[in-house]
Amino acid sequence: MEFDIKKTSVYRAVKTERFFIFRFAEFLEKAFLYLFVFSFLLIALSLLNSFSGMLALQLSVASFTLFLLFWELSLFSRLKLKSADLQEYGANLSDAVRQPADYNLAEFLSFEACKTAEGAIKFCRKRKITEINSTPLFYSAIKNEKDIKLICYRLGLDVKKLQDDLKNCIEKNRRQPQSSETFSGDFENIILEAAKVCVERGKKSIGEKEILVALARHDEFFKKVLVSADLKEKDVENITLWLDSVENTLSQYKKFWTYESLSKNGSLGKDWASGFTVALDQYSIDWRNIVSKWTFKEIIGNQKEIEQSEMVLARDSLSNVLLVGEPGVGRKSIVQAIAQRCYFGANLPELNNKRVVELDMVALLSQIQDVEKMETVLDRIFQEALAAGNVILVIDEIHEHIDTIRKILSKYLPMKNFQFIGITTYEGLHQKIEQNSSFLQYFRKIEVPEVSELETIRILQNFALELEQKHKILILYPSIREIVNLAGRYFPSIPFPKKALDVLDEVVVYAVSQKEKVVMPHDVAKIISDKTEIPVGKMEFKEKEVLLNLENLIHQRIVNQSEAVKEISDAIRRARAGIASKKRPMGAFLFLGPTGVGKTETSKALAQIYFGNESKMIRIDMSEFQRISDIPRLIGAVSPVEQQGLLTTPVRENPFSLILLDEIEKAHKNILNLFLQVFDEGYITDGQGRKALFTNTIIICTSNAGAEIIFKQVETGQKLDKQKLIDFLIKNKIFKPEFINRFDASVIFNPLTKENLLNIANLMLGSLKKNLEEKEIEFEITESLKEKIVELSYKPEFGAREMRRVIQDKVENAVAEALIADKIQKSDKIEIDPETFEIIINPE
Amino acid sequence: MEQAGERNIITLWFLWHFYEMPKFLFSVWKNYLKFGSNYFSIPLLFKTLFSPWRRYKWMYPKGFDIIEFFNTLISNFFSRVLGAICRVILIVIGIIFQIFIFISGILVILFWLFIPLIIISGFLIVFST
Repeated sequence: MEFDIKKTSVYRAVKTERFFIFRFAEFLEKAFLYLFVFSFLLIALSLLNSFSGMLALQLSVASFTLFLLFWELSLFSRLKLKSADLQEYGANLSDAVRQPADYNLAEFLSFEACKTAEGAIKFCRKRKITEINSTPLFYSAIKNEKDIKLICYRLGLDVKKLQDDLKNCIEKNRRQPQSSETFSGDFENIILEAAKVCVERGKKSIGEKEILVALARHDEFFKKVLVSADLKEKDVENITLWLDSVENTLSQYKKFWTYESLSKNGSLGKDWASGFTVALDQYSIDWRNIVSKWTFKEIIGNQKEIEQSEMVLARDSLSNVLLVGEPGVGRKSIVQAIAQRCYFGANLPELNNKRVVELDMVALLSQIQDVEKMETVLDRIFQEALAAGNVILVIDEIHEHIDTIRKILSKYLPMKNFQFIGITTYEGLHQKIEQNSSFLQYFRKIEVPEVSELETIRILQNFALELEQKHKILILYPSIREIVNLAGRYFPSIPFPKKALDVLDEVVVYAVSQKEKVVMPHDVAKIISDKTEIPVGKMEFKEKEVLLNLENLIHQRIVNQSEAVKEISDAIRRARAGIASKKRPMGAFLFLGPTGVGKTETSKALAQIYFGNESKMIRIDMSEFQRISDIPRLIGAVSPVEQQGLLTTPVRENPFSLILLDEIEKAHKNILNLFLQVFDEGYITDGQGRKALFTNTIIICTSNAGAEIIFKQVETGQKLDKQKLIDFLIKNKIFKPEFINRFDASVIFNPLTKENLLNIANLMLGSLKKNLEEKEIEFEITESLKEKIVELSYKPEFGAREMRRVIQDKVENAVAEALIADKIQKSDKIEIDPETFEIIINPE
Repeated sequence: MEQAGERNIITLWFLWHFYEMPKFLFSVWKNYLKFGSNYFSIPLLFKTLFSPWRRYKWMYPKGFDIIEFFNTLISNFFSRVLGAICRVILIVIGIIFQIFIFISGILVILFWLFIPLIIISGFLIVFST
C-alpha cells in the first residue's frame, strides 16, 4: 500500500491554504467591503465639496475591486481547496480499498484528515522519530481537530490528560533514528481501515472521524483508553455517526438555495386551490404548523413503516392506514414524519404539500355531549376533510372512540381522495376493531415495531441536545448508552424509545436538582435504582461485601442447608457480575425436602438480601392450580371475562422479584409444562397477549414430594442421594424429566436434627430478645429453655414449624401478659422458667 | 490516470471559476425557478380558475324553492368570481416573480463570469487615474 501525502492534491491545498493571502482572505474581504460602504460617505462629502471627488471615486473603485478579489479568494479557499471533491482523477475509494497496493491512499484524505496526517509527520520529524506509527496520528487528531476534541469530550475523556499521556507514550517508545522516514504497518492499517469505514458509510474521502473509528479498532493506546473509560469501539462508531448526521443537518439548514430548503415555504397556489376546514380546525392539531417550526428535529427509525404508510395514502382509493403498535414505540412519530415530508415536499407527488391534521377526539367529546350533535359535527368534519382536497386526517387511539365514529367514518373511508390514518394498540385492535370486520377491511394495517437500541441511542442523542440547551448541562455519551442498556434490561414491558426518553428526562432533572454540570452514568444508575428498587450500575463496596458474604448472611436466618445456600448464592453472584445468560431467569431452583426445614425461609431471606425486601417475593401456592381450567387464573385471560394472571401480572409490574412456587408437585401437569418455556426462554405470553419477562427473576419451586425417602435415608444413616430422589420423582411421574432438567439446580433440604433445632430455637428466641431490647428489657435465653422448647416441638415430619407454635404459646404469651399487667418494668432483666414457663424478673 | 495533484493552483482556480461555479449557480437558478412554479402553481391556478373560492359551495335546495335556488346560484356564482379574481392576482404575481428570478439568474451568472474582468478593470481604473 502506498501512502505519500506529498504527492496529493489535498496536501497542495493544505499548503496553499496556509499562504497568507488565503489565510486572511476572509478578513480582508470584510474590511474592504466596509471600506467600500464608507467610500459612499466620502462621495457624499465630495458632493458638498468637503472632500476630493476624484479621490472618493478612486477609493470606492479600489475598495470594491479589492473586496471582489478577496471575496473570490475566500470562496475559492472554502469551496474548492477545503472541499472533499479534490479527488477528481477518476479513482473510486471502494476500488482503492479492494486493491490498496495500486493506489496512494493519501489521495483520498479529506482536507482536515490531511492536516491531521501532516501534523503527525511533523510531530515525529521534530522528535527525530523516523518510523511513524498510529499513536502520533491519534495525538495529531486530538490536538488539532475540533470534531475529535468534541467527540472525546462527549465520551467523557479528559482531552488534556489524553494529550499529555499520548505525548509521553510517543516519547517513551522512541527508537533509534533510521535513515529515512517510514510509516509503520499499524499506521497503514489505520488508514486502510478508515477507508473501509468510509466505503461502509458511503463517503468519497477519508475524514478525521473515520480515522478515529479506525484508531478505536486498531490503535493499542486508544484501546486501553477506551477500556479504562468503560467504552467500546462501537461507542466511538455511534458518536461519530451521530456527529456526522448533526453536521449534515446543520449544513443542509445553511444551504437556503437548495430546493428542499425553498420547499419549506410551502405552496400558496396549492393552498388556494384547496378548501377551508372550519369545523375541523376547531377540534384539531395541524401537524403541518408544528413541523414547520422544527429546525433540526429528525425522525429516526421505522423508515419502512413510514414508506409503507405513504404508499397506502398515495393510493387512489382506500387510502386509509391503521398503525398498530404498543404505546411508546413511536406510532405518532410516523405521522410526524409524514407531515414533515409532505411539508418539505420530499414525499410522493400525491402527498406533497398536504396538511396532516389530527382530530382531537378528547376535545371534541368534552365540548359536545349530545350524541346527535356529535354525529352532525363529525359528519361535517369528515366532509370538510374530504372536500378540502389537501387533508390527511389522523385519529389517535381510534379504538377508544370506535363506537362514536365507526358509523360515520365508514361512510367516508371507501371514498376516493379521503386519506386517513388511525392509530391503535394491539389490545385495541383485538378487542374493539376486529369485532367489526367490515370496518377493518377499509384499512391497510401497518404494524409498528419497537425501534432498535442503536436507533434509540440516536434519538436520545438528538433529544439530549434539546435538553442540554434547555438546562445548560452536558449529557455524556456513556450516560446515554447506560440509559439504553439499563432501560432495556430493567423495564422489559415498556418499549423503546419511550422508556429511554422518560429515563433521560428524569436523569437530567435529577442532575439539575443536584446542581451537577454533567450528567454521568452513575446518575442514570441512581434513577433506575430508585425506579426499580434494585441496585444497578457499578457495584458499591458495601454491595460487593454483601455478595461475597451471601452465604453467611443467609445463614443468619437459616440453620444447616449449606448446600442449598451455596448453590443459590453462586447463582446470584453470576447474575450480578453480568455473566449469567440474559435470556433465561437469573436462577431456577427446585427445593426438595420435608416441611419446615427452611425452604420458604431461604427464599424469604434471599428476597430480603438481594431484592431488598421480603415483599419482593411473589408467592404462589401451586396446590390451587390442580385443574387445567386454573390456567387463566395463573396467566390471565380476556374471555369469557377479563382477568389478570396471578403470576404474569405481578411479574410484569415487578420484573425484579423472587417467585416462590410452593408445593409445585400438586399443580396440574399441563400447568407445569407452561414453566418449561419460562425456564428456557425467560418469558411467557399472558392471556392478554402481552409478554411477561422472567429474565430478572429468581424462580424457586418447593416440593416435599419424596420426603419419606429422605427420612428413610436419614434414619438408616445413609448419605442423602440426590439422584436416587430424582429418579424416584420421575419414576412415580411426579415430575417429568424435561421439567427437572430445566432447573439450574435441584437442592435437597436435610431434615433438621436436634442440634439444628437448638440453633433455630436460639434464632427465634433471639428475635424476641431483640424486640424486648427495644423496650429496654433484657431477656436472658438459657440453655435449659432452648432444650425444653426443642423437647416440646421435636417432630421430624413437621420440622421447625412446630417450634414457632411452642414459642408463641409458651414464651411470647407469658411475656405479653406480663407486659400488659405492668409486671415487667423498663431496665428489668427477665428469664423464663423452662418447666413452668413463668417469668422470673431480675433473677439472682 | 490524471493526478489532480499535478494541476497547479491557477488551473484549479480556472476550472472552479469558469466551470464548477457557473454549474452550481445554474443549479441554484433552476431551484428558484422550480420553487416559484411550485409555490405559485400557476398551471393548477389556471385549471381551477373558475372553481369556487376555497371550495366554498352552497347546496341547492332539494324541493322546489325558486328564491332559495336563486340565492344559492348567486352565492355560488360569487364564490367562483371571488376565486377567479384571487387566482388571477396570484397568477400575475407568480409570473412577475418568475420573470424576476429569470432575469436575476442571468445577471448573477454573468456577473460571476465577469468578476476577473471587473477586478482587472478596477485595478486599471485606479492605477490609470
